[in-house]
Amino acid sequence: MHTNLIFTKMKKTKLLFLLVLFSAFIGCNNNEPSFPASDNPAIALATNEIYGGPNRKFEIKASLNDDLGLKSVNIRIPELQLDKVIVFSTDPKVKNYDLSYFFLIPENKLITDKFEVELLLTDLSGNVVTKKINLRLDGDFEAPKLTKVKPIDGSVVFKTASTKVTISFTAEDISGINQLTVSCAALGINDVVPAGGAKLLQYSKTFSIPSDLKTYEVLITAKDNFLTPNESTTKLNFTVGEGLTEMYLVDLPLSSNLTNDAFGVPMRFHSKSGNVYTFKYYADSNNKKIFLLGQEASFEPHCFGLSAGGSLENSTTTNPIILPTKGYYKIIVNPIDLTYTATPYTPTKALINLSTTPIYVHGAGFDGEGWTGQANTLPLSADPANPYRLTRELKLKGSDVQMTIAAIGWSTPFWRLDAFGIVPLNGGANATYKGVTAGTYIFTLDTELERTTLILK
Amino acid sequence: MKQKIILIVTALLFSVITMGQITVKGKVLDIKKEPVVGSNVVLKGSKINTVTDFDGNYSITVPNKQSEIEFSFIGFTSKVIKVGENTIINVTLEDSQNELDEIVVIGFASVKKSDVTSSIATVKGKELKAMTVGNVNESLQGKVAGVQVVGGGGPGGYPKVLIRGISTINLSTDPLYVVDGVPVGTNSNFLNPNEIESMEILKDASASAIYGSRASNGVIMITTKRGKAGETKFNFDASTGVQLMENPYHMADAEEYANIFNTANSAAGFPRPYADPTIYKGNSTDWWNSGIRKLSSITNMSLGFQGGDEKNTFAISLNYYKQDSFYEKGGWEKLGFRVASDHKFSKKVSAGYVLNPRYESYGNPSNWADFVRIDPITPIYKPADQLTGEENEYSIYARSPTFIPNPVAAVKRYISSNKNYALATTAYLQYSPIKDLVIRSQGSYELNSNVSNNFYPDFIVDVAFESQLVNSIAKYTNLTQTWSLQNTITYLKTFNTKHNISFMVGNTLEEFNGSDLYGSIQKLPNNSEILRELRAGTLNPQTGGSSYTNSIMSYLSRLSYNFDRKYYLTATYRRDGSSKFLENNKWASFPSASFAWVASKEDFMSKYSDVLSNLKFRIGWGKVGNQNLPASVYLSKLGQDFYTFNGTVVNTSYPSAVPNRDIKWETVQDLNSGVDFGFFQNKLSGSLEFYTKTTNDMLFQKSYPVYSGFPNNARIWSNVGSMTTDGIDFSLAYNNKIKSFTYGANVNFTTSNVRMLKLSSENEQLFGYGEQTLTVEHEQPGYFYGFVADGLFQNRVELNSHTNNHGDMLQPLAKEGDIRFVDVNGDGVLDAKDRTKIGSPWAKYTVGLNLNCSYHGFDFLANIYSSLGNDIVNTNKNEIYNAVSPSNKISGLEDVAWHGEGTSTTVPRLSVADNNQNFSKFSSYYVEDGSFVRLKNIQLGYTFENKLGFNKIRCSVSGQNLLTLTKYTGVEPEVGGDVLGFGFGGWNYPIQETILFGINLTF
Repeated sequence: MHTNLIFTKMKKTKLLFLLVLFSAFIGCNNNEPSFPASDNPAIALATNEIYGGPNRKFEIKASLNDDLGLKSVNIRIPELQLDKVIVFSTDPKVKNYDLSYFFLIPENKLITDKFEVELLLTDLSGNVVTKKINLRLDGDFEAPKLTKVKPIDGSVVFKTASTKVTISFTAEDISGINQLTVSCAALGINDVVPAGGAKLLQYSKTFSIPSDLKTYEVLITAKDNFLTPNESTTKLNFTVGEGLTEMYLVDLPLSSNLTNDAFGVPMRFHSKSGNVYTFKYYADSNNKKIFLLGQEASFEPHCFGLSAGGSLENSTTTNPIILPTKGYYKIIVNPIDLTYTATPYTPTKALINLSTTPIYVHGAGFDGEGWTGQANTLPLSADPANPYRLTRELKLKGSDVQMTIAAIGWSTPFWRLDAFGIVPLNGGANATYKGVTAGTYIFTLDTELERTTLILK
Repeated sequence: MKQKIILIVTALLFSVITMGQITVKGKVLDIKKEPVVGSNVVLKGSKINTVTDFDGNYSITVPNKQSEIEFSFIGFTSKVIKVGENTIINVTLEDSQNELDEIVVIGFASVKKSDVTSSIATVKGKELKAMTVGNVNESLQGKVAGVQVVGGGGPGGYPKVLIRGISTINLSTDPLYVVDGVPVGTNSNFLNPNEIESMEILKDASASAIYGSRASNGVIMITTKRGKAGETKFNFDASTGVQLMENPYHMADAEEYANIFNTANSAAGFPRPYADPTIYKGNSTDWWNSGIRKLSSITNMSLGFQGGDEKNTFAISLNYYKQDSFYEKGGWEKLGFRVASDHKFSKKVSAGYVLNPRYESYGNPSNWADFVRIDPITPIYKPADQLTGEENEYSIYARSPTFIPNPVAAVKRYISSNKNYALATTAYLQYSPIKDLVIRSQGSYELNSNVSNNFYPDFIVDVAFESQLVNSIAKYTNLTQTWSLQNTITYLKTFNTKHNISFMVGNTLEEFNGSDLYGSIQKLPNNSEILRELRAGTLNPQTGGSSYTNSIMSYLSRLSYNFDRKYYLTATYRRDGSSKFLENNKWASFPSASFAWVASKEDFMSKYSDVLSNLKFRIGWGKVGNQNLPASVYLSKLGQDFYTFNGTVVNTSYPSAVPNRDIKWETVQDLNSGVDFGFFQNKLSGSLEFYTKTTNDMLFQKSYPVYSGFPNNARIWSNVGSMTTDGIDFSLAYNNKIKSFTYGANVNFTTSNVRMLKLSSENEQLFGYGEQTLTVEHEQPGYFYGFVADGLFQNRVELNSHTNNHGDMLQPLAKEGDIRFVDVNGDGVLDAKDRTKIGSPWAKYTVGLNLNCSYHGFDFLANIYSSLGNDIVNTNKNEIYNAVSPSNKISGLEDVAWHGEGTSTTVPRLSVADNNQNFSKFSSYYVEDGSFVRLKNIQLGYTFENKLGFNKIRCSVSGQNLLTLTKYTGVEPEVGGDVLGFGFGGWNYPIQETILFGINLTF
C-alpha cells in the first residue's frame, strides 16, 4: 500500500514535470523557424547622397547581402513619414537583394531641406546593421523649357520657287543648358549646338527645303547641366503645300489663348471642295468679329482677316471679318484666291422641345458621368436667345472626356461627340479627348451647326 | 336419434366450457373523461380481442379470474388489468410519453415510429400552430434537426427551407411538399397551420426515394386533420395581435444631413453645398412616420368541428388569416375551407375525400427602404408656390435631389390587386378483398387561378426624373390544372408472430397544365377607378400569353421486413418518366435501401432496460433526383430584340436557347447512418445521424464559344459537375411529469458542409452575383469573393508604407481614413487577382431549442433558433456610410466615420468622392458575422376546464421574434437568396416582432 502510494506520488511528480516541460516547449514555440548564428548582413549603397525635390520621387539604391539569408529591410525617414519594411521570403532564402525603392517627397517640403534615409537590415539569425544616406532636396530635375517653337505644329508652309522654313524657339533652364539639337532626318538636318551652360538661349535658323508636297517631322532636344542631366524634347510637324489642308473659324481677338477649351475652339470647317471651305457659324451678337485660321492651335502662320482695304488677307496682324447682325451665317472662303462670302440664313432644322424631350449629357470625365442613357443630373437647357443652342455647366475631373448627348433611353435625337467637337445628329463616333484639365466648363451644343464647345469658365 | 345425442353432448360440452367463462364489460376513457373509441381490448396471451364502441364501451369474455386484459390505443400508455372478481372494469388510459408509439407517414404508407428505418422527423400540428404565421414553415424553424429555415420576408413571402444543406446550385433548393399523399410542388403558402395534423420531413434518400425525381431537396409530408369517431367536437382558435416595425437605423435629421454633406464635399475638395445647415434645424421631414406604420395587425382564426361514428367520420374547418403590411396598403389575406370525410362501407371497402376551396389576396408596396434612404430636407409635398392647381392627386409630391422616388408618392400610386382562387380535391377508394391485402386508389385534382390588376396613374413629380406622362393598366391571369392518380396494392403479413412483412407496388400519374394571358394598354381617359379597364386605354395595346403541359408517370414499390421488431429491412424502388426529357433519358430509376437494428430488444440488453429504453442503429442509402428545370430545355428557342439601323428600328431575332436532347435530371446519392436512443422510459430520447450526399450530372446553363456563331446569351443546359454535402444531425429531448407539473425540452443541432467536387470544366471559375461570389472545385459554392480589407489607414506613415518592394503605391489614390486593401498574391500590384475568399454564406451549425412546461391550467413554451458560423454581406454599408450617393446617412456618421488618427478602424472617412473605392470595391469590409440567436416564440397560456358551457377555454399571450442576438449590423440576419447569391443582406423585409393574444374554445 505504502509502495503504491509512493509510486503514485512519483508518477504524479513525473507527470507534472513532463507537463511543465511540455508547456515550456509549447510556450517557446512561436511557430517561427529558428536559424543558426551567422555573420552580419551587408549594405552596399549605390551612393551616400541622393538628390530629390519637393513632389518628386527619388530612388534608394543599395545592394543587400547576407551569408545566411535576409529577413527584412526597414527604410525609414521619420520626417517624411516613411517607415517601410520589406520582408523577404525564407523559402527559398534570399541572400542577395538589389534594393531599388522609390519614394515621393511631399510637395510642402523645401528645396533647402535635408534628411537622412536610414536602412536597417536584419538577417535570419537576427543580426541587424544600419546605414544612412543623405537626402538633399535641392536637385534640378526640371528639364529645359522649350517655348515659342515655330513653325507651329501642324501648320502649312506654302510652296514657293525656293521654299524655306525657319525653325526657331527659346530654351530655358535653371541649371543651365548644356546642348541643343535640332534634327529632321527627311531634310538631312542634325544641328547640334553646344550651349555652354546658358540659362536662356534663343535659336533661329532658316533651312532650305525641297518643294515636295510632304509633311516633315522636326525633333528639338535640349539637355541641361545637372549631375543627372535632364532633357526635354519636342516634336513638330509642318507640311509643304500649295494650299491649306484644313481651316478653322475663331471669334476671339488675335493672339488669344486657343487652349482654353476642351474642344470646339476654333471651329473646324463644315465642308471643303478643293480650296474652298464652307463654315456655318452663329454670331451671338451684332458686329461679331471673326478670323479664319489655317491651323487649329495658333493664329500663326496662317490667319485670314481683312486688310485695311477691306479685302481678305493672310496675315498675323490682320483685321477681323465683321458679321453685321446676330444670327446664323454661311461663310465660304478660298484661302488661295483670298476671297470669301458671309451670308446670313435662317435655320430650318426642327427645334428640340426640352419640356417633352429632355436632353442629357452622358459620358465620362465629368461629375455626374455615366452611360445609363436614363435621366441624370446633367440635363441641357436652351439658350433663351437661341433655342438651337443647348447648354449647361460641367465639372471636369481632369481625366479623358467622352460624351454622347441624347434623349432618355438613347432614343432620338442623339449626338455622339466626334473629334473637333463635331456632333452629327443621330450619328457620330465616340471620340476620346485625352487628359482634359479639370475645372468648371461651359458646354454648348448647337443643334443647327451640329457642333459643340466645352470652354473653361 | 344419433344426431340428437350428438347435439346434447355438444351442448353439454359448451355449457361446461361456458360455465368457467366470465364476461367482462366496461368503459375506456382518457384522462379528460372522454371515451376512447376503437381502443384495443385483448385477452393477454390469446387472440381473443375486441374494440371499444362509439361511447368507449366494450365487452369481452375471458376464461377465468386469473385472466389479464390489455387495453391499448395509439397515443396512450397501454394498461394490463387482472380480472379477479370484477365483471365491470372501467379504465382510464393516460397519454403516452413514448413517441415510439406514434404513427409516422412515410410516403404511400404509415408506420409506427419505432419501425422507421430511415431519417424522418415529425412535428405535430399542435407545435406548429403555437405560432401565428402565414407560412407554416416559419413555425418549423428550429423544431427539427437538419432543417434550416430562412425567413421569407413580408406578407405573402415564403421562407426558404433547406433540408440538410443544398444539393444543387442552379436549380431550386426547395423541398417537395406532399399534402395528404398528393405532391403539391415547392410552396406551402396555401396551408393554415390550424389545418395540419402533423408534418413529416423525409431527410435522407432512403426515406424520400419513393418520391424519385423530385426528392433531392428532401420531402415534407403534411397530413391534415381527419375526423375521429366520437361525439362531434367543435374547436375555435383565434389569435390576433400586432407586428412591430421600427426603423432599423437612426438616420440623420435635416441639419445633420447638411453637415454630413458639407463635410463630405469639403473632404473631396468641393464647395460646401449647404451654406448654413442650422436653417434646417427642426425642419426635418419625418419620412418614416409618414408612410410606415409602427404597428400592423395580424389575425388567424379557425373554426373546426370533427366527429363521426365507427363508419363515417368527418372534419370540417374554416380558416382565415390576415396580415397587414406596414404600409398603408397591402397585406395578405387567406380564407380556406376544408372538408375531410371518411367512410367505411364494409369491412372491405372504405373511401374518403377532401375538398379544399381557397381564396388569397396578397401584395404590398416594396419601397420601405426609400423611407429610410431619402433625404430629410425634401418635403413630402411640393411647396404651395410650385403648385398650379392643375396637378392631379399623384403630382402634388416633391422630388428629392437624391433621385430616390418620393416614397409617400410611390405608395400612393401603388394600385395593385393580386388574388388567387383555388379548389383542391382529393379522394380515395380502398378495398381489402382478403385479410392483409389493401388495394387503394387515390386521385386528386386542383384548379388554381391568379388574377392580377395593376394600374399606373399618370403623374409629374418632376418631368425629367420622376414622372409618367400617360397612365396605363396591366392585367394578368393564369389558370393551372393539376391532376394525379395513385394506385397501390399493399400486402401486410405476420408469419410465426415474428416475421413481419409488407410489400407495396403501385403507380402514379401526374399532369400539370397551365396557361396565362396578359394585356396592357396606355393612356386611359383619366385615373378614375371606374375606368381602370383595358378597353378604356387608347395607346400601345400589348398582349401576351402561353400555355404548357408536363407530366410524370411513375412505378413504385416498397418492401419492408422485420424480424421480431429487432432487425429491419426496407427497400424501395421508383421508376419515373418525365415529359421534360426526351427518349434517351425519359425514364430513370430511384432505388433505396435501409437497415435498422433495435439493439435494446436483444436479450443481452434486457439487464439495462431500466435505464436504456431504446437503442436503435440505422443505415440507409438512396438515390433521388432533381428535375426542377424548365420544361423545354430540349427545344431551340429564338429571342427577339430591336436594333436601330440608319435611324430605323428593326425587329430582329436571335437563337436564345440551344437544345440539348440528351438532358437528364440531376441525381443525388445519399448515405445516412444514425442511432436513436431513449433512456428512463424514453423520458430522455434523441438521435444522432451522419449523412453524406453527392450530386452528379448537375445542370448548368453553358454559353457557346464565340466562334460557334451563337450570341453570348444563347445558352444550353448541360449535365456537368458534381458536389457533395455531409454533416451531422443531432437531437435530444427530455420530457417528464412530476405530479401536475409537466415539462420538456428539445434541442436539435445540425451541421452541413457543402463543397463542389467538379465543375463543367477544369479550373472553372463560376462567378455569381456580379462577380461577388465564386464557385470553384473543392470549395463551398457561392462563397464571397472579393478584396481583403485590412482596416483603415490611420496616418501618413501607414499610407507611405503600403507600397510594393519598389515603392510603388498599391493604392495611389488613398488618403488617411481610407480602407487598406491587401495585396493577397504579393505581386506588388493591387488588382482583380488579389480577390480571394472573404466569407461564406453557409451556416456551420443551426441549433433549435424548444422548451415547454405546464402546471395545472398554466402552460408555457419557448422556441429558440440559432444559425451559427455564416457570414452576411451587409450591402447597406454602401448606403448609410457612403457619401458618394446623396441618400440619407445614419445619425452620428461624422463621429463614427474616420476623422483623425484613431477615431475609427471600421468606417472610412466621409467624402463625396470614393477615389480609393472604399465602397465600390467589393471587399471584406462588407462581410459580417451573420450568426444569430432568435427567440422565435414565447407563449404563456391558461386553460379553464368546463367553464361558461365550454369544455375548454384556453387563453394565451405570446411574443414572436421578440429577441435577436447578433453581431450583424444590417437590417435582418435571416438572409436567403439563390445558391450563387446567398447571404447578401440589404433592405430585406425584416422578420417582425409580434405580440399576440389567443383564445381556443372547445365545445
